[in-house]
Amino acid sequence: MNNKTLPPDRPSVALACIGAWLVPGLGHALYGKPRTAIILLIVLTLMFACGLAFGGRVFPFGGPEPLVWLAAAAEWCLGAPRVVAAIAGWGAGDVVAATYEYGNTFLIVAGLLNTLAVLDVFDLGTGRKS
Amino acid sequence: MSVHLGVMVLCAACVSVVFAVLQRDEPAAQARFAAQTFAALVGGGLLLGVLQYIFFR
Repeated sequence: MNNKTLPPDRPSVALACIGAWLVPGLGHALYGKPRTAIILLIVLTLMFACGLAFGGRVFPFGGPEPLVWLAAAAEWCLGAPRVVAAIAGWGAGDVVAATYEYGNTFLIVAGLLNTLAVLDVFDLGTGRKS
Repeated sequence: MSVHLGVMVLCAACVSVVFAVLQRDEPAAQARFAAQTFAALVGGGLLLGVLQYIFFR
């Protein structure tokens, strides 16, 4: 365990993980890794924006298909961009677009990658990683 | 074809960058890891495409 590189007044692990979920990169910024935070913010937001631009669908919870539930859960892992998309009504999905499935892939992968970032923040906060 | 390939390359690039910044600490190691991951993802995708073309067309 090596906490010497972390700021002494760092936030709690739970707060940092919630922040990392809400805003991609925020957890790393709170733990003194601004470069990683900026890269995560840019890349994950870009992926979500590309998914919307490609005609991908922002999946809602509900319906009989379990895969749709999994896709919705993965997209909600991105936090604020997903909330903004829900409020603004983006992501209706253009099923006849050639890039529809690519758009879905970008939206889902962006959420799953943010999950990895949240787990990385958890490791930073608990001292498993410095 | 070029659109499909371009989108795959874009997705692979984004995934590679995120993997690299999460898995490595030093910028040089991050760049090397990102390049390796990118090559594996794109190469794997192309290989699977060729195999599908050969066996399932």
